[in-house]
Amino acid sequence: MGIAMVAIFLLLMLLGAPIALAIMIPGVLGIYFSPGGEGLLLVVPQQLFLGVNSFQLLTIPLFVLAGTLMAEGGIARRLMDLAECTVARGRGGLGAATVVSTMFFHGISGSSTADTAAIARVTLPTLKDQGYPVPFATAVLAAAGATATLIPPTIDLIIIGVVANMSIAGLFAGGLIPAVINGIGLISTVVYLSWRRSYGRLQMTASLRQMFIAFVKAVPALFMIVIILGGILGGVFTPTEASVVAVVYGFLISFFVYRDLKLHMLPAIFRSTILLSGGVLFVIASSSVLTYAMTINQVPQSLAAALNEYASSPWLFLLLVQILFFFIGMIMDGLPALIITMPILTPIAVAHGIQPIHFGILVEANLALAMAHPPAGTCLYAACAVSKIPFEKVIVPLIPFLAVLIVTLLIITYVEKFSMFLPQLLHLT
Amino acid sequence: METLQRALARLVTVLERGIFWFASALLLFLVVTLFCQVFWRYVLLQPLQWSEEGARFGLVWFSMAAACTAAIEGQHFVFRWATLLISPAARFWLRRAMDVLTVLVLLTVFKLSLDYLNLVAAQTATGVQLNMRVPYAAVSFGTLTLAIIFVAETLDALLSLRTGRVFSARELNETLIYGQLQAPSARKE
Repeated sequence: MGIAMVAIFLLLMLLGAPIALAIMIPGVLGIYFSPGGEGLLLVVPQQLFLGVNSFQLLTIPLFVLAGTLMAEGGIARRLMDLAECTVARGRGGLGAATVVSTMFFHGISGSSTADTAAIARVTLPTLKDQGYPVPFATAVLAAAGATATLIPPTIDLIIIGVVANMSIAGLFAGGLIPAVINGIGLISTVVYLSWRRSYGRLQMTASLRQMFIAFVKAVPALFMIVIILGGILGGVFTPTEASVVAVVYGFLISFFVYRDLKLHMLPAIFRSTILLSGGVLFVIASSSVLTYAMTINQVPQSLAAALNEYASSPWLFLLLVQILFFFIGMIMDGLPALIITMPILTPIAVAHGIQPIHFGILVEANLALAMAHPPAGTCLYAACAVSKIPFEKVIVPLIPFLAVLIVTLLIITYVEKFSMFLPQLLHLT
Repeated sequence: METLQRALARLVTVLERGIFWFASALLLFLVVTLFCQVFWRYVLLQPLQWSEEGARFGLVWFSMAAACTAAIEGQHFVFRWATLLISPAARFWLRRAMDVLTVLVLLTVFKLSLDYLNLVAAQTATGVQLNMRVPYAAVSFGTLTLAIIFVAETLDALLSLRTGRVFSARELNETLIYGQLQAPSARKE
């Protein structure tokens, strides 16, 4: 039955059915054909309801709303101004500042695609002025936007926490050091390539006074990171409460302090939040039906037994998982992939002695890589949409960044301490 | 034929506007409810009894309404790479077959959800003191509205074979995306 459900899902997906329906249909059939199945069909609407009747899932529309409010409200520009004044010195400095500001902005917005588009709109003109070729600048933005997905409050980590029953605060803490490792890798690559190819200016552009002004202007934006990260990791707020505080605070500073947000912009901001959340939440609701069908047909147990047979050591298991997600990331969007696979794979990983948070982070790091390259690279497409060049032109400049991210992915995968140090320190495991 | 298409397009537009404002109101409800929860808990030190459950039920309704808006705009996740390999005509009919299958599944789940509403008719939510049919009705609302949207889209697509005009936002979005996905090979040619 398990194989039949997976086959039907794959067939429907390949035939172009909406992923939510491609998930729901094998779930309904799996329940119907299970022992005593016809009487069980009433659980289908119940599972659709229970799939989204979750306090933690409230973070998805709220963080998306907060991110969109702030992207439109001028926060990205203030953060970039600060990064330009402080980090953008010497050759490659502006490229490095782009990576830093992308990561900071993700710490506020939680959405990689919105993050990439917002920072790209602000930085691309300056990068062009400083002599960075547009394909190279676009590649930097795509790689930085993708890797920033490890920085809380990312939607992917919230989904991993909900569907695989992990501490969301623990996942948020666990993603920080791997994100810094990726960031250091990207900054080093940008600076090295810029020196080799003479991109960017050598002289320092900002005085101390300019730096101070940029810092003062960015303080309200930076305080948002303190609220979100400090609130969640310090145990003051739940992630859901932090998300609503982010919405209210983001609205107040964008509307009253920066004054870039206007009331007439709100319907478009709401629409963008509704469209993104609707797609994700309906997949989560549908996957609840499939997960139920798989459980009553004992699919996770059969899969665990098969995987144990072929991957007896944790080392080999992790390698297989990374290869699996690398290919999944190449063919489909990361969110549905996480929703379908994480409830099944996490118990198997735990049985191999792998910490759940470490497992969640290494999977997310892998999917982050997929966001930077075609065919499913949403950050790449967002950067290309702003720079107005076809993505094929970005592929060659992107290769060194992808190579660096693959190396850092292997480090994150096999050195558990990088993911587990902060969650253990903060007692969030 | 085109008159019928225009009528269908008007129906979908009215539906889209109504659902969009409904979803926006629900989003605002989620923000206000949860902010009240934070304010009462941390400032007034008197946690609200109903806010968490109310927000969860609001989220279920929001999810269904948002899924309908996303369906009208063609924003649901779809894997398109395999269907790039077939001709546009074959892809058109394949999409119609998927639409019909989707409608059948949604109507089946809608029927089941009505039966489930009878099952929970006597239950009351502890926090918000609502009859449980109210939150569960979101599933019936979502599946029925999605089915109506897919029927309207399918009819529009079939009528477009005669009129040569497409009114569906989702169909236009799909055409645009397939155009972008096929752009590299088209340029090589």
